[in-house]
Amino acid sequence: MTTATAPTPPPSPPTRAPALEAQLREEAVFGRLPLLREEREYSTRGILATGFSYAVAAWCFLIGGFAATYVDAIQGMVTLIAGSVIGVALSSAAAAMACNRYGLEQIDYTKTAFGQHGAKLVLIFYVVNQVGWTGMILVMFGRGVMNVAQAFGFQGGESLVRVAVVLGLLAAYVVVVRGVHVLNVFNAVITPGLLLATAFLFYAICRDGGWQTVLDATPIQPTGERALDNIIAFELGLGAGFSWWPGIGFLARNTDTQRNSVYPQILTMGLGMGVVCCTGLFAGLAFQASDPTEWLIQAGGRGMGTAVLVLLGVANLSASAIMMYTAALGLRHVRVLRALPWKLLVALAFLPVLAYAVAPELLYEKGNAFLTYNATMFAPISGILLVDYFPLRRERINVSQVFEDHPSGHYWFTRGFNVVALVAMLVGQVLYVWLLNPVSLETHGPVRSTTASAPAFLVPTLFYAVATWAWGTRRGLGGYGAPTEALPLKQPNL
Amino acid sequence: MIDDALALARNEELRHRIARISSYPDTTFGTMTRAEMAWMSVVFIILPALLVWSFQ
Repeated sequence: MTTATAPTPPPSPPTRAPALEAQLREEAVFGRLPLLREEREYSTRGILATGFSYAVAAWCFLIGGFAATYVDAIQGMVTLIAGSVIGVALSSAAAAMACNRYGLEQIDYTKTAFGQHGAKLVLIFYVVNQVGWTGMILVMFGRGVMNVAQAFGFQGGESLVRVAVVLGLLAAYVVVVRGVHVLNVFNAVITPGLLLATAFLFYAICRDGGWQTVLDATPIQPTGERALDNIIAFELGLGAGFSWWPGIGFLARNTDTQRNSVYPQILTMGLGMGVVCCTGLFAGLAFQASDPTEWLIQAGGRGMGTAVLVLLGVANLSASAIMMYTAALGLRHVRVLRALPWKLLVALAFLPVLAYAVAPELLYEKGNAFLTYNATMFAPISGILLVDYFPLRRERINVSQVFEDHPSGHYWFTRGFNVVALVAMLVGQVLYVWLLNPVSLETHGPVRSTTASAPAFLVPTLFYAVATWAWGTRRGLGGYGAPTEALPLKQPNL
Repeated sequence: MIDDALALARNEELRHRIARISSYPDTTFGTMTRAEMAWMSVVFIILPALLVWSFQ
């Protein structure tokens, strides 16, 4: 437990050399230093524009294509949009508001519920999410290169995909090492370009038979059970929504109000992404191919198809660089990695992505499993953070203790781990896999009525609330109800 | 290895920022009432879920 200290006026900012000041400012925006009120860059318009540029990305076509495997146009539209909106709403409910209020980075905030070391386990899921998406879209880039080559009569096969993935990795590595600011130029072109590509795809789909063709098209390879197909497509939408969990805090900490930390994210990364995913769904149904790199050539012909694939290639490289940048930043939470030079740390983050260069087709085919993996991992975590921040902590945390690695710190719990949160998370993840195995799609229990994500969210939430109230708070763990004034740091973890 | 001067400045900056943020009133970034959160849950979670469920 801690003792209350009398409130003191905030100190004046330390005086430093301009170069050092600039570096620390950079570390506040892109690193772990908490962001001050006057440093927040996003008002309503800013966060809407940024959220939309994040949401309208190449993976939307991929997600829509996966859904076309199981459901028709109407069912797919409902499940994808509803799933994305719910996934982002649940992901952002606690994380966005806490990261906005305290200017914290996502994993730092997670320490308040999972403990100083427990949050590093969540970091593993965070990095797997970034690595997995990077690998998926780099293979998509590689398959785009292969299909363009095929359209011009060159048969490269999987070897060409491997080469393209390695080249994409190298390009993304160079961008991350040099600084992702260079991507601002690309992004100014990519988002409008992808919107144009989306409009073109709608035109191409309707040109070749009209809207009725899309409505009449049957799913590519359904399971044969309509209720299960509906649930799988819904889980794909939820997975797409929960995929944003690692990015929520990064954006929310830079917004100027609590409302701007939540609503724009739901509207852009939830609703906006869901709508754009529908383009991939319609095209997948119309051309009976779930892979965008296949149907783009069919939809646009050699000329337009190649142009859109090149645009997607650039978009994918840009998105890969941003995701690996945040993954490398995340690795700085690990003490032994913190002192590594940036180039080496980035290389370390890129290392697992090489698996996608070794077996691109195998991993790409399991893309829908990866999508639902995100719901498996982040639905329980979102529930735990929600119940911890709102009813248990009443929206108040001690920001100084987030950076305290000393065992007397509020968020040290037991040896740095909050056992209750870890057990709750494990229960949720096991429950999800039991209800709906993301890889084999084997089902158990009432998954057709309850979905897999809902129990995986609700059960850990209730378990965590009851166990923390009955056990954690009574043992004085976690700083529940303790004063939130800044305490002197004994062992800072920055 | 991290430059010692930078590490020192970073920790000093961290303490400064913690002190600033801890002194912010709860209303610094505006507030969302319980009613607003309940409304948000209905619109963005419960209604979309019911819509999907209607297809089962």
